Amino acid sequence: MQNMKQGAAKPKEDTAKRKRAEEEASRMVTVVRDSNDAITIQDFEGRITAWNRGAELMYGYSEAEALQMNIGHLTTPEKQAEQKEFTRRLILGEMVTSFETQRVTKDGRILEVWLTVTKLVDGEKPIGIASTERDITKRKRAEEERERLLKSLEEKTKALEQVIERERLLKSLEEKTKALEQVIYAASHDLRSPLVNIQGFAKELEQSLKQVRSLLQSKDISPEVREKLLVPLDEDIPDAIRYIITSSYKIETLLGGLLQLSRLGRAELDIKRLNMNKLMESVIQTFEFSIKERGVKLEVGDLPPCLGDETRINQLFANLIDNALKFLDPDRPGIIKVEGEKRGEQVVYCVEDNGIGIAPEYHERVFEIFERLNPTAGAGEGLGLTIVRGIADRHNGKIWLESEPGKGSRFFVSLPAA
Amino acid sequence: MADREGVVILIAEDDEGHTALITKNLKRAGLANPMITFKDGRETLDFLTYKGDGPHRVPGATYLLLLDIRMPKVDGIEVLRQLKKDEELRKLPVIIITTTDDPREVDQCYKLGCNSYITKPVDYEKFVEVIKKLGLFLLVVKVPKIYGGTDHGEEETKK
Repeated sequence: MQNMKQGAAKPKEDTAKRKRAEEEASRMVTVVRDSNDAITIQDFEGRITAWNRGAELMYGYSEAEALQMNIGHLTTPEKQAEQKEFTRRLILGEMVTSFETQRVTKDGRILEVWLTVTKLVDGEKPIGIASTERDITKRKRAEEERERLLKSLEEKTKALEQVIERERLLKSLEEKTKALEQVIYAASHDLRSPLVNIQGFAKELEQSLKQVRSLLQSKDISPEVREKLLVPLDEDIPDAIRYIITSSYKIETLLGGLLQLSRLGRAELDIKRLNMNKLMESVIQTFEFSIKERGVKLEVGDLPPCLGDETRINQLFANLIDNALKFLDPDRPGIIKVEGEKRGEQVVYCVEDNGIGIAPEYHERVFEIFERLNPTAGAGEGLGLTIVRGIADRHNGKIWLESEPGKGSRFFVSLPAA
Repeated sequence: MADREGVVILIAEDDEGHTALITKNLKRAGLANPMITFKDGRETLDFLTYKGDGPHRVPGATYLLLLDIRMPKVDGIEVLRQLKKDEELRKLPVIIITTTDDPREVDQCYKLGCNSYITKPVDYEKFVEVIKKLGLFLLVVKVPKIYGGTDHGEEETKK
């Protein structure tokens, strides 16, 4: 009796189990069939044996049409080989990971798809290939567009930078040319002036000598003659010679200055970190005598270091100190102050004096070549400040001035910070 | 040669050598006129406009100005400009004598109203020739009296 009862229980369990399995299978089939991704099955020759709703929507082929087709029909010519390759690998038992590929729809559109393939087996026996495909066309196109825009932006930026650089070079060239023209003009003008004297007085000398010669020829040199002799011998000739010598010295100095200026543009700069306190010390040393002689009080602050060519920067400050000494006010004791301050990428140095100052209309002219506002104030050919500006320019720095006539002047120089 | 009416020749020239050469050769050309020299534009203007501590012109006298361009403090162009602005002083005959023959410079000077423009040749023989001709020119040219200017505003005729 008990045996019969057990036997009767088993079939009930089996039925329930089977029913559950069937229900589950049915649910899975629904999930697969209705998925928006294209899920298809092919045999190893590529014949399509299953085609879900997602595939219908993606490709435009109905299930009926698809079941007559080969998967090769859906691949682009370029991807045919790829398709065959992964089929082969799957058969051999290799893992094929998901990858991007291209497909063709019924109406000829090319889709970018994300493809996942798996091998279908029945026990040990491989029976087909299942593919899951997701349409990533939109995403891919957006990515491509982004890449394209980025590249285009890069190119445009490069082009713009080139234009800006070209403009800068042109401007620099223009300025240099203008400066050069000015130099040549001033030079030729100012060089002619002393040459007029050299020629002139040399000829006058000749005349005077002619006079002397003709007078000396007279056999008896009477007192009158002797007196007449004195004029050319004591006055005219010495005068003329004096002018000749002075003028030729002047030409020498002017030419020397010009050479200095032209050297500014040509020579290589040896840029180093400069200890400005030490540099100013050596500059001041060269002026020690002048400073003592004129009773000038010199105050030098703590100067930040800068980047520059030591010789040139030394000369720059020497010229500024020289200038300050030239423009001293005779009515009060001279005070010269040198200070420096870091401002961002630059250091701004200031040489200040309490001298006679410079009127506003000369604030640009002082830097012009051969410009001398105070010719009586000693030797110099009016090149000092021109050279200072030249040096500042070559260091990509600036020089400018603030001044009030009667009060004093402040010369500012900006140089790259160390 | 006759001394004409005593036109005072003003020479504004910063180079002493040039001044010497000019005055020497003017005299050789026959000019016995009084000559006054100035070292820069400032001195020149002060003399003519009654400014500064130096000597000043005499109202009602006759003057003629030989003017160089490149001078310290105030250059010749500026002097010319200032003179031509003044109603009385613009009558003063101005002859530019300078080393440059740059056409732009010549043009500018005439535009500002100079009466003549002479380039100083470097060649001395030519220089002498030029000054001599200038001298002869000065011997025949008529020069007006220039009035006005002192703080008292009186007009004096020259003795």
